[in-house]
Amino acid sequence: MTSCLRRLTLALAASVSLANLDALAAANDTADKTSMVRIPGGLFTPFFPRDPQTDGALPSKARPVTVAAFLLDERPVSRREFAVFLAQYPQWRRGQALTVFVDAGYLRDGPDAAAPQTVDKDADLPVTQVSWFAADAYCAAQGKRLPSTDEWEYALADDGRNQAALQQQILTWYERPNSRLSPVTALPTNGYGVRGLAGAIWEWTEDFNSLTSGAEPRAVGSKDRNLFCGGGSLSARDAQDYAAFMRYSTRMSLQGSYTMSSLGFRCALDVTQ
Amino acid sequence: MNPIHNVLLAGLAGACLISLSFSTGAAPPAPLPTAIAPANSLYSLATVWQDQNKANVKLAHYAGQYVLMAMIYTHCKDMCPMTVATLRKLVEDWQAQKLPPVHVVLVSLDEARDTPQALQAFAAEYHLPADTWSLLVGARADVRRLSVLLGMSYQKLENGDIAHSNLITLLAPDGHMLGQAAGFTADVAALLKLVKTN
Repeated sequence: MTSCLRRLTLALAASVSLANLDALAAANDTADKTSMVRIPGGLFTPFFPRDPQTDGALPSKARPVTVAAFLLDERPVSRREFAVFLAQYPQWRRGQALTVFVDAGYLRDGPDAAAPQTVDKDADLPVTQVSWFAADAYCAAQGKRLPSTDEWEYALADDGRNQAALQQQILTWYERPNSRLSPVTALPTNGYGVRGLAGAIWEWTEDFNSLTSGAEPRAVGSKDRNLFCGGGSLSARDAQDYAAFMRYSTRMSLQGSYTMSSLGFRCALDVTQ
Repeated sequence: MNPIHNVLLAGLAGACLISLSFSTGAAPPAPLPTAIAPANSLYSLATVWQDQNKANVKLAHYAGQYVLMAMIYTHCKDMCPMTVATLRKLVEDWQAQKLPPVHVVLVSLDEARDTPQALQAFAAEYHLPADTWSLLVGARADVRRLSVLLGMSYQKLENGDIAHSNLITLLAPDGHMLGQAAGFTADVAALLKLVKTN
């Protein structure tokens, strides 16, 4: 019993118990919704189609799908908030997080778990340099989850409001590769009341690996033809939407352990009623 | 000792008992390493799955032997049967060459429709004996986590199909990734070479 216990102790100490976090999440129906925005359900046209394409046929554009109402964090997760998470879950601190879940750049510029006690002038900036696994664990610890790509894009689409201004804002951001981050509370809101979906940071989604990679068309498990380059662009919702191509291609280039200085996240939650 | 420590120990003891009481009925795998090491072991993903015999398992259950892992679903009409055939041939070649023990772990992408019974029926249909083949189902979020860990893509389509990359992953006995191959025989032979040199 003792050696079994010791094996388990070591295993738990070394492993990241995402399953435990989910159990926490399930048991804890008191996720903090105060800084979340309810996004009403509606129709959304994905950028690429969901139907399998038959060989030889012209690719058809995506049909609208229904996005159910959901709650979305009003703003990206901040460094301060992530520091609190690190204090509670030391296995996610830089140097302790496992290489299978984070790459070498993970939290290279902080925050530390110690930060909540100290004054960090950058505390309200969005946390970046976090991997998908770290973001997933953070959201699960809050009793939440990452938003799906559809949900995130649907929120960005802002029910069709201010599309030209939105496109311009995004493209301006792409042109300034090292633009300074703004505090999350200072980011402009869209019509839903959500801040900073455009022009701040790239954001992880739950199913960022949902579109099959153009690099292995032979290996695709259905006749799906969502190839990114060339012919694939014919099936895109709007071939002029350069910003969307950038977002979708960035997502497809990611692996779960990757971190980037411009890549952060926010969390989402199902609506219960 | 503070009360929280006591609760934790009780929880560990309970988990220890639970882990002892579950068994697939197959030959027991080699004992777990003393830590889920190294840091690049996929067995650090501590999510719980159900196999085709309804036993609760974590991926670390398969530590101690080489593992071939793939993600499929039973309603898959084209690629998945081909992947299974490829794996069966690979296992045959593997065992013919008297390499160290190998176990195949197939994880369902289709938590909505695949149940342990469906996996059991699939295993019977394709002649996949439980001593070598484990077929797992898990929660939707955990399926996504594993797909990310394996570097795979998948997406549920409107007609019920699931578009997914067709990767076979080879794990070392400690759970770190030795290599991957697209699910075609030509690529898969390279995995056998990897075993011999690792």
